[in-house]
Amino acid sequence: MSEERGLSGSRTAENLKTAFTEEAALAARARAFAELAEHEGEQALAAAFRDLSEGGETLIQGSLDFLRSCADPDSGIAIAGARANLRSLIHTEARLGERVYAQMARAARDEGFPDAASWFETLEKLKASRLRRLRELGDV
Amino acid sequence: MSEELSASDVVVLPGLEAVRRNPWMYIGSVGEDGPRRLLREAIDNSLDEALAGACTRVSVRLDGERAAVEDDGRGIPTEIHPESGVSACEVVLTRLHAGTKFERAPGRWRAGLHGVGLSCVNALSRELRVEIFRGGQAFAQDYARGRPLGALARVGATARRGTTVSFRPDPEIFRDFRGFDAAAAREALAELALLLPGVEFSLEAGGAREIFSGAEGLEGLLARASAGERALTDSPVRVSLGGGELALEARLSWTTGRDFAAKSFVNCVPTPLGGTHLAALRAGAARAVNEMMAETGAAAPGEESFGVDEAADGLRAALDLRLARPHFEGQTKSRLTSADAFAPIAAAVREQTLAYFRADPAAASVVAARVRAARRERLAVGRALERVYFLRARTGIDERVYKEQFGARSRNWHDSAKWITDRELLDAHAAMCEMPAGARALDVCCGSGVVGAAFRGRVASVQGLDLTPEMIALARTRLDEVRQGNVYDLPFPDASFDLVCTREVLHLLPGPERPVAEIFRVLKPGGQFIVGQILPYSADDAPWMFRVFKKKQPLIFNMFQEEDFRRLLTGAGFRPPAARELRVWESIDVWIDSYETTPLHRREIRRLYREAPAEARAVHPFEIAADGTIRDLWRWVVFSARKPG
Repeated sequence: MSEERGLSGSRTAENLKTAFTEEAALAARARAFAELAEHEGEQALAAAFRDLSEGGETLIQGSLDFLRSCADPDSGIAIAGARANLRSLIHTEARLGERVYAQMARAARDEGFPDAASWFETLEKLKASRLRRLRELGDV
Repeated sequence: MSEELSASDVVVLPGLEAVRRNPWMYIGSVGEDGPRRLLREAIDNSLDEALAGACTRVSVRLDGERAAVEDDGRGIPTEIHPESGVSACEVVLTRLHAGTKFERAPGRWRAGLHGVGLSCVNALSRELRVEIFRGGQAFAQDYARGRPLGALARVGATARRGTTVSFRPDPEIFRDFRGFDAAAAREALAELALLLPGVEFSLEAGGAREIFSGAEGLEGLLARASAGERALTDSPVRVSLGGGELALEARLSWTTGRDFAAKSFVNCVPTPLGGTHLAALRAGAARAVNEMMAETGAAAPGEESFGVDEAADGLRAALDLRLARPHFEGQTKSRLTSADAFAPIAAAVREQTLAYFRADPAAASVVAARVRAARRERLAVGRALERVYFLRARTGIDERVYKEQFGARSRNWHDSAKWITDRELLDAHAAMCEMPAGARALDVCCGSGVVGAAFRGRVASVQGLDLTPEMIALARTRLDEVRQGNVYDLPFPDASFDLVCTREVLHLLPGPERPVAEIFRVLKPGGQFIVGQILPYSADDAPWMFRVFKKKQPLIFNMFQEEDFRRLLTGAGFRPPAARELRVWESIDVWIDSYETTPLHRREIRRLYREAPAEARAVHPFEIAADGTIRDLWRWVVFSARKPG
């Protein structure tokens, strides 16, 4: 009989994070593709894509169900109540807003895509605004 | 022959309190569309009688803030409702989801809001009176804010039959309501007359009575859908589909217009946001066009088939769908979501449109040429989009992209958006002028020259500069002199002008630092730069606005926020700018009806407004009317920056 241990730090936990992220991205793509298919008059495909997107929510949340027993897939903070979860979201918004989007904007500008750079900068500013709001909630 | 209604035909589902608490959930808006919606609900109540073949006349009277809708139908049942102990009429007027339409009799089409209609009107009216003429007796009952002031009373004998509902919207709910809009009622009744030619629709307003003719039928609705455009064929395609639970009449016509537009109705209720029935109509028409082009040799063997956007470009349609069990998105029924309706409608449209083409080869040939022109335009837009990515901030811009786009737009430049000629906005730019009367001004990227022309009388001369020959020709009618040139490399010596102005340009330019530096260079020491720009209200609406603007205009390179713009100016050496903010309503429907915005992008922009995220809605005002039209209160900021003396 195998020794009983938690998910934290396991390869399975990493795989659950991957499943969570991949399914979230797939559902978002399917939702966008459904809109495009509907515009093209491909009603049957639009309905199938929409079903895929809506069904995806169960798959996304299913992986998160497992991760609840260890930690948030991005921040690593335990999923243990609204206050802890708020800290997790602040962690991600700060990571994206204070580092990631600024780097992406610089890269886009260097490669000659000023509109994409402006998009990343717009996201960076939104993240700063959201962070302010979330931190205020944390203060409360 | 219609059957008589009785009290036991009325089915009751509970609850009306929520309507006054959250009226927008039931009628979509408490703005100017709200009272219009109430009137429409009252009309729809009579329409149900017309659709059941039980009435021949519907009349509407408008008198300031009061409206009355009268029909000669069977009359709302007056008997005591067996489950409620009050009259069936009172049940209909005070309970949500009370009404005969839940009976679901096969083959019956219903217009009202699944029984929400009259009770909503009652709940949201300061006063309402219902008069019923039924079985030789006249009855009346009065209400205030949804509550009965007494029981339904018999008021005498009568030979009439029918129902009259008169009401006054509650000013506590509709705070900006100042009276009913006769024009909107006229439009709605005229369309209903065309849908139901056997019923007389009339309007009394402002001391006059109009009766609307339904003689033209669906052809009349098609003419309304294609107003101002020329039909390319002698007669429209006629599509008919009859069946137990779905019946369709449609007319289709390819025109000189752009994109696809339709007047569509489900059970006589307008569906301005379209839905399954219009998606099916477009798909069916596209299939017919592709088959026709293959049969006639208009398409080369192996050629990529024509997409819905190409086949339906310029297509106008009038569609009257009757459905026994329609499903809609939202309580106000503006979009049909009944998936089952798609296949039969698409098949009928395909089959009957193809038969039309086969019977009229000349019409088929004209439509084939129209569809091919749509493909050429799509490819041209696609090429422009591809070329955008060959632009490089450091190596300058590809002038062809701007010349092509603004050259095409010059044909209707002043009609292509409200802001372009908005007097208050132009005056706001001119009012910032601090230069003496003898000053020389330059309008950079001047377009038709309206901004520079706003400075006339404040400065001695205004010169213009633009890249596009067609725009230069327009500007020459307004400015003293106009030259062709590129803002990245202004064709003027240093310190040539006292004032430079421009508006809504810098966001279109990659590397805007360089044109601003050029403007700084050509200004004299102490000179003034006046520049107007649409900006997001905050960081919270900026990503949403970025998507809207980028879909409208692929040449957008910068979604400036106010601090970015100030930094851009001070970074070039200007003193910290003064700014004046003003807000201007823009018609989004007009703004996106342009060469550079594809049909897909137009659709996506409308959806972005309908589904705007809460964080954007919280700071950025816009309105979506019941007919689906959108207007946005844009935030304009006019900056004035001085070059150090």
